[in-house]
Amino acid sequence: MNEQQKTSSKQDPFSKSHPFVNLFYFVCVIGVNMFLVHPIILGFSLIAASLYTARLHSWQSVFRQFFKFLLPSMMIVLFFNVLFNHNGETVLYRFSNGKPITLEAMVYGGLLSVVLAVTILWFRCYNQVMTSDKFIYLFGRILPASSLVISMVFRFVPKFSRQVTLVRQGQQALGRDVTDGTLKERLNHGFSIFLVMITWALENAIDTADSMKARGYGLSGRSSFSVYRLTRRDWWLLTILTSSFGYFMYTVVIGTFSMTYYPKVQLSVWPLTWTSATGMIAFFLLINLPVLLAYVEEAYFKRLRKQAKHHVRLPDYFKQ
Amino acid sequence: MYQSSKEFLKALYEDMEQPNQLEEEATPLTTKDVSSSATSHSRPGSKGIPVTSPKKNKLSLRVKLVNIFLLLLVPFVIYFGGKLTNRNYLAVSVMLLIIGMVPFFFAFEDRKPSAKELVLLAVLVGIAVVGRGIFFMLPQFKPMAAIVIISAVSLGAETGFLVGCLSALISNMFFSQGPWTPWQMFAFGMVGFVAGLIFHRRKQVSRLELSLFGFISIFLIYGLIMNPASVIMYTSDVTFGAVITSFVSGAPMDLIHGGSTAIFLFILADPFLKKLERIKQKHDII
Repeated sequence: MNEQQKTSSKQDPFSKSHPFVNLFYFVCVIGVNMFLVHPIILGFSLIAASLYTARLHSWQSVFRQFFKFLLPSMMIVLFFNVLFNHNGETVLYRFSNGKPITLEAMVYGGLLSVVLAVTILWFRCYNQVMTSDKFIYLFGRILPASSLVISMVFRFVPKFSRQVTLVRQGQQALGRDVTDGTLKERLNHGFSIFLVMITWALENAIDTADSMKARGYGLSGRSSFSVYRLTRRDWWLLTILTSSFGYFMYTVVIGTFSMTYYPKVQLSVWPLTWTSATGMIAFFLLINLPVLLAYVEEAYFKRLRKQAKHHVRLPDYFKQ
Repeated sequence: MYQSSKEFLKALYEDMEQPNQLEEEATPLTTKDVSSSATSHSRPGSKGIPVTSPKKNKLSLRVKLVNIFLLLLVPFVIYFGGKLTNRNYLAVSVMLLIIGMVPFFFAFEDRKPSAKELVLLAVLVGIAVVGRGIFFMLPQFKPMAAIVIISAVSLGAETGFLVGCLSALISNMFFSQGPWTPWQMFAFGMVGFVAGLIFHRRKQVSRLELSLFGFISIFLIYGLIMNPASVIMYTSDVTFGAVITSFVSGAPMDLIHGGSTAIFLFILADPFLKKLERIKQKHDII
């Protein structure tokens, strides 16, 4: 929640497009990133994820996250892989019980640690772009009751938090706050505040349900309103996404980006062929779409602003 | 006139009693008067916490067909998912997790739940999410599993699964989504489901039993799902040694989580279940 409330300095037009476009993009990107362990694809993904995260937050926060959280967890993943994976033919070191450490396991473990880092960066973008209202809008069509529950929970969480403060103030006035008394008493006070909360929440739930029923919940023929519409830009984005993803998956399925790690690391993408080059371009387009869209929009607005300067003749008192 | 209105009232109460009749056959009532229906389950002198049994929710044909289809999908997923990528364990397991969660949500949607059921579910999930938020600073010390288990005991296995699943999903929306989300959803869901299966049909449960179950379920259900999950997510090759190591390295965290769940259950189970019972009987829910 905190992250969502932070406003970034730059505009992100991709966040403002239709939720389905956003979800489709993230499913494609995170899916490819998690299931296709290929150094070139991963490299592209890492660059794109950092670019987009930096756009949504800042470069500073990307680096901070990288050194504080990602690098340590990457080391753990690498370590784990090297210790427990003994496939591969290039033996670097042999333990006393005969289990080897191999170069291939090291390469694959390293790549997997990059997968972890990039996935976490992508999920950071996801958390920023796919806000809960978009999620509920998308799943409201398929799972109406569950989505309603989710949206009610989003209402209840701040409501409960506020009620907890009220109950606590009431108990405080009676001298039964969580800071009063011995440790055992404090715990008791804490739990009794919690239980008062539960009673209130359950009774409140029944009120809400009655009010929903009174307003005709569950009757047939009711329509719903949403702020999202598939505009022409969304259709364009969808076309670009599906075509680039489709072409990229085609090149993957015919084996352009196949990769074997054991017993020996073999990359099938080098030397560059026509299909692998176009596949990479398609992937580049797919994965950088939000950032490219932002650049296009900025350029467009710059041009408009220039035109506006030419056309508008301001009266003298506006000129400085 | 008086006679008829009395008859009417009697008929009305008999209508309302119907849902409970199935399990009341086991303990035949001596007097079939109105007042006994509301209090027949809570015997004042007994130690345990009374729990009323549910109406049986029968699955509709549509849900059954979908379930059969999903069941048939499983071998296909295992066969073809293994061939798609070189991370076949991850691909297959994530697909199987989703297949495992779909029937619960589909059955819930198909049942056309009433407004009261929906709001009650939302309140329970909300309490679980707020509970996780309160203890955010202490790693793994969270009351979420306890609240999921209590809801499952009171409202049944399916509802328990939904509460677990949704509270994992929504609390991750507040904190952070990641590749672990589907695993956590399924793990908490399963904790609720098993709790419902074991305790919901019983007339009474003791809080000692519940907290013991809470402790064990964190190790045997939550740990059994989340520890191999880290192996599948972050390593290339799922070996026996790696899984064992993940269990050992995850044990301290599971210990804190299981212990906190047991403590919360021991303290909260009794009052919380009574409150839920009261709401259920007062408003005739589920």
